[in-house]
Amino acid sequence: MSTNATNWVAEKLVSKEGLQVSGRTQEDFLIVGDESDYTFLVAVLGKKDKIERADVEPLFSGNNKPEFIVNIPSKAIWTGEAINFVHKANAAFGTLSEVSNAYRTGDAGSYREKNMRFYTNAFWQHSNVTDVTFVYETVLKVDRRRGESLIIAIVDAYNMSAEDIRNTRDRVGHFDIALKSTSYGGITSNATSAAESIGAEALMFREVMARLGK
Amino acid sequence: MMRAQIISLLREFMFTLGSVADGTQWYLFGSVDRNEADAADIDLIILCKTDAQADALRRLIDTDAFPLPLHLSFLTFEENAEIGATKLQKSSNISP
Repeated sequence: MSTNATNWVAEKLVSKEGLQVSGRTQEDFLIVGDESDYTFLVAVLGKKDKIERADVEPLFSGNNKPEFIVNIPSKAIWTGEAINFVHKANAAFGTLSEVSNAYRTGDAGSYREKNMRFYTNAFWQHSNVTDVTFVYETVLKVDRRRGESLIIAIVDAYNMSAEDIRNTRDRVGHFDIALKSTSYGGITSNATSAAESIGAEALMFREVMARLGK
Repeated sequence: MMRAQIISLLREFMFTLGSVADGTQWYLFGSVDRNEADAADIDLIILCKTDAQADALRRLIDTDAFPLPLHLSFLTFEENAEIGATKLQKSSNISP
């Protein structure tokens, strides 16, 4: 990542997030936090579309290992392989604003985005589920004892529209279920039709949990 | 203060989109609309005449081009009439 982008992130962490940045490592990782209390290393990536395993692997090859990785721009999507690699390295990833959340845990590498943590845990606890893995940062593959595996895309929509379905398809490709991430609001009949037209379903959380057993 | 600034920016931006945005209605909701100091993103519903218009606007709008990340919801007028999204979110119409 260019020093300019790292400088930009450092400035925002101080001015917007109210964090301290006390220095940098030789790898240009930011030392974030209060030196008298808790600090952790933040690496900055600059992938525009997708973050792959090959993009994150080199960050862990030096003497210092990052505990949190920020990509700029934030709308670039993390692939499952990159996420799994980062998590296995006891590190976390997220947006600029999530650096503060990670700091507050006191163990930044263990930080996980709360919505995806909720869905991952909920699916794991289903009696018919044998494995849950990331396909992308908001897409999970759920393996089941009975029935085929299901690709579930979590759609961050208060009201799920047909455009949400098309946009999700454009961003992540095939999925079996589009899960509306909030419990209030609705799914339009056009969204249901748009999902059906690509062989998928548009469902609320409680419907997904029922679907996992069928 | 933040709310007024962001509405002004969104209105200016809407005009720069030209004919692609013709006939759309823009609704602000959430923490920015409530003028909360610690708003994390800008929640915006854009009502469109057609699916094609929604898709075109999704491609054109850079969600990182504003002081806070833009969280966009595109619905057609027909969809909004069905589920009442703008009313449900207690949103404010900011389009002229």
